[in-house]
Amino acid sequence: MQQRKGSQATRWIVLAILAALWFLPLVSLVLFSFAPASEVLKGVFIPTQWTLDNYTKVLTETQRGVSVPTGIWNSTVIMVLQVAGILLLDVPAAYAFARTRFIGRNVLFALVLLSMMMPGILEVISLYDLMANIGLVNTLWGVILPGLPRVIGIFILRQFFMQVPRELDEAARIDGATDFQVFLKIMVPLAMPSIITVTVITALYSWNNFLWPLIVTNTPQAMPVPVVIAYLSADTSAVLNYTVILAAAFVTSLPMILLFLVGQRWIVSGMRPTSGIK
Amino acid sequence: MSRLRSTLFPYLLAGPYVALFAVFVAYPVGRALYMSLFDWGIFGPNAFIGLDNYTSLIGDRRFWSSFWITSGFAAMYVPMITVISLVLAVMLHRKLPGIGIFRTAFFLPIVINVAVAAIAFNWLFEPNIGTIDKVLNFFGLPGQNLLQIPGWSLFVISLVTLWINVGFMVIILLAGLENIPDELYEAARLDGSTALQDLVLITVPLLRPILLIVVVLSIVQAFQIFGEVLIMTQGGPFGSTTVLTMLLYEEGFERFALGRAAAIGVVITLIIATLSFIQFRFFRREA
Repeated sequence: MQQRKGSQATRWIVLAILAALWFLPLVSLVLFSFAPASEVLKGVFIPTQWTLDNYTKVLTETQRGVSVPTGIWNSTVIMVLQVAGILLLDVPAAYAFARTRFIGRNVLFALVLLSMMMPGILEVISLYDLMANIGLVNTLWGVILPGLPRVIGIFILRQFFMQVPRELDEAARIDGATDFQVFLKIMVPLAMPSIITVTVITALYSWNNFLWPLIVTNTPQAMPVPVVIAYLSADTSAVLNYTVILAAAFVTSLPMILLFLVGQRWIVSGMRPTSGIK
Repeated sequence: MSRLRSTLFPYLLAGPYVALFAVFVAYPVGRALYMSLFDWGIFGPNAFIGLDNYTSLIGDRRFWSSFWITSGFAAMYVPMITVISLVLAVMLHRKLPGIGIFRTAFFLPIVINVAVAAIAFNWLFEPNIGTIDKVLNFFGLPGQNLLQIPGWSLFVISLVTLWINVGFMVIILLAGLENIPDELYEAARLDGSTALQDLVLITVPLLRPILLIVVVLSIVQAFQIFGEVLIMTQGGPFGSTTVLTMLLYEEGFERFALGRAAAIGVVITLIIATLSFIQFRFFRREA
């Protein structure tokens, strides 16, 4: 459509200003993560001296008993196991909710949807109590398990399976395929784009989730990345240089920034209301 | 035999998910309700006290203070994110040179966790050495320690939450904008409408169902805000940012009054449910 004269220029300027404001927090963080601590006090917008010392410290030394590489390792294990677990649980369950009949199906799905509305904070007390009873506090499984019944993957995959035409499985059944073969050989390959979407947004969630990991881990060895960062930032006194915390914040965000650059369209498709919310 | 297998098949598919859902979602919700009826300490239940945890909240000044602080946060955050994400979505909807970079600017914070976002903003607002103070100094103005001023600190926290979440809201709104036919705008243009008239008379009314989702989601976010507060202000200065979730955290994990903390969780859930319900009723009637 033809645009109004001048409107495009105005739009561009407004967007450029807002975009600059939105980049500012991260840009400032990254710039000073490469600066020696002395630069912080100089009152400059951009550091005049550069160093990799902050990153060397973050990657090789323990800060306040917390090691950032340990946090990165913990987060990686949590992410891999949660993504694998969620796919193994969600793909069959979403298929069952979308295309099979069983007793209690609609009630169960309504409960699952309802739980999407529950604030996470409602559960932290009782969930902590439960985890303490089964000895999973301060373990990676304590972080991983409560994340597995997340609803969003079920929701996105069910939406997909519902719109696959019935004729497809009927044809396969006439050729003698069993229920399981129809599911595994026909439906799963068809669902690949949705499966990738669920993989990407689950990876994001796993790496960035804060509230529950904060509650269930309180020893440095068990903490995933966001909890490590929160723990480090609780002490911005002279003990720890500010620039070191900035480096830790950036280096632990890098995997997700790369995921964003590669998988932006899946992140977007996972958040659109047609495929799911949250 | 194959008939039996067909009947069992759905249970095999859904069973594992449903089992985990029961253990890690349904059970904790039920148990939270149960715990809220007890005087429950670090070693377990001391006594059944019925609704005392709830009635005692009504007389508790700290609870009401947290309630009003959270409401105040929502009153700043919800209009701010609704208006800004609407404006951004409208501007990002049509092609423009450099639009990829603009989208990246607003979508990138989606992948940044709340701890890192809080640090980035702490750094920005750090007295004397932060970028905000440097800009003020550059213009000859004195530095402001906004995170240490009651009222302002809550506003800065709402900015962080806005920064993190605006991209998600824009994505939802962009999906809605795609469903508005271009012909409407063309017709309006022939009638000589201005950009503002387009926005108010075409975009907003047609986007109403999606705007409703944005408002409800942002209220839900506002009443659950936690990480930003914990990292940036720990509820201070002078308790001025002790939102409801911070109160729950303190009661549960600092004072180990687990029954009372569970009750606060239930109250937060009820507030969110009530507000969402009212929104849907109100908007649907008007639509």
